[in-house]
Order: sequence, then C-alpha cells, then structure tokens
Amino acid sequence: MPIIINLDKILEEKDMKSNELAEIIGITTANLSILKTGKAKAVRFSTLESICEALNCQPGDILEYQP
Amino acid sequence: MITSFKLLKGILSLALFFSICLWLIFLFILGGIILGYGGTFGLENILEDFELNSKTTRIVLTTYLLGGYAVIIYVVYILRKLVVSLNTGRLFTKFQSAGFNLIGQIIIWLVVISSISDFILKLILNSRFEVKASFPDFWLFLAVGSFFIALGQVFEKARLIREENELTV
Repeated sequence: MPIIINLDKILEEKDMKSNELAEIIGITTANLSILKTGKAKAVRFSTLESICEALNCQPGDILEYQP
Repeated sequence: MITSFKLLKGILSLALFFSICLWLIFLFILGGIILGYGGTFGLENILEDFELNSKTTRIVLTTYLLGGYAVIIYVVYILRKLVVSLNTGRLFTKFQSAGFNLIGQIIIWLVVISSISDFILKLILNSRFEVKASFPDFWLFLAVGSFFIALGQVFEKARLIREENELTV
C-alpha cells in the first residue's frame, strides 16, 4: 500500500513507547502494532485524533503517501 | 438459530449414514451381479433382461452408478461440515465460502455429466435401460448449483468485509 505510517519515527522523536501510547489513546497494543506495521486497512478519525492529541502532531506527520 | 442448525445437522447426519449404508448395499449387490453371483440375490435375470452380456459394459455401468452416488454422498458430507462450521459461531470463514463454492460446482458438474451420460446410455443400450431425467429437473439442479456458487461468492465478499473491519484501528 502506498500509504506509509511513520508512527515509529514520531514515537522515537517524542521518546514514547508503544504501550504507553496505546494506553493513552485507549486501543490495544495488538491494534497499535497492526497500525505500525502497515497491516491496517483503515484508521478511524477518532483514533487519528487521539494519536495526534497524544503525540502533539498533525495527521500528515503520521501518514505519508508514497506512489 | 442454534436449534435449527442442530436440526439440520441431525437431518444431514442421518442422510449421510443411510446414504453410506445404501451405497455399501449397492456395492455388494452390483459387485455380485458383475462377478456372476446374481443368483444369490435372486437377480440372475436382470442382466439377461437388459442384454448386458459384455463384462466391460457391466463394469462401466456399475462404476457410473456407484461413482455418481458416491459424489452425492460427498456433497452431503461437505454440507454437514459446513453446517457444523456455521454453528460454531465464527461466520464468513474461508472454509465456508470455499465449501459453498465447491458444492455448487459439484452439483453443476454432476447434472451436466449425468445428462450427457444418460443420453449416451440410451444410445448404447437402445433404450433397454432407461434412466428417467425430466427437463425441469436439469434446470432446477443447475439453478441450485448456481445458487450455491453465488452463496460462496457472497460469503467470500463478507469475509473480506469482516477482515477489513477487524483491521480497522
């Protein structure tokens, strides 16, 4: 899929661990792992909003389009 | 819903059991006739009535009858497995979509092959051995087979939607 998830990079920049983020935004670590590995077929706006709020970033920082 | 599945499973189990028993009985009787033990079953005149003197014709006819019946038993067996799978609670699995598709394909092939072979049998045996298959039966079974294939495609589509739903974060 040409949509790349840069969650690992942002997490490293913010010095936050995956399980911490999962706990803050209220999803399971398994689901966060699906998102990080690019296996997810869709992302809910509510999840994206929670991630942006927790990491203090924009959706464009997390999602990237590579044709 | 669960009760109807149990009822259906019970009916299919009974159908499978009796079908296998009947198939074995046919196997012994037809095997006996081919090997020349027709007199044991009181069937010594059947072969003479149909003028089936060639052993090859007898073997082909027996294989055709037993083979066709065995395929029908296999369809009932898959249908029973499908009902058990639907009853377990997890719906729209790959097995279910593939199972419905397979049943549909088998029914269509069975109907087409049996129609062709009935026609050939009539030619070979000069209407001495008539297998009755009426015109509406052909279309009805073709429709049933197509319905099962369509059901398989619906299950496949539903499986993709379920997977998409599960992979939505």
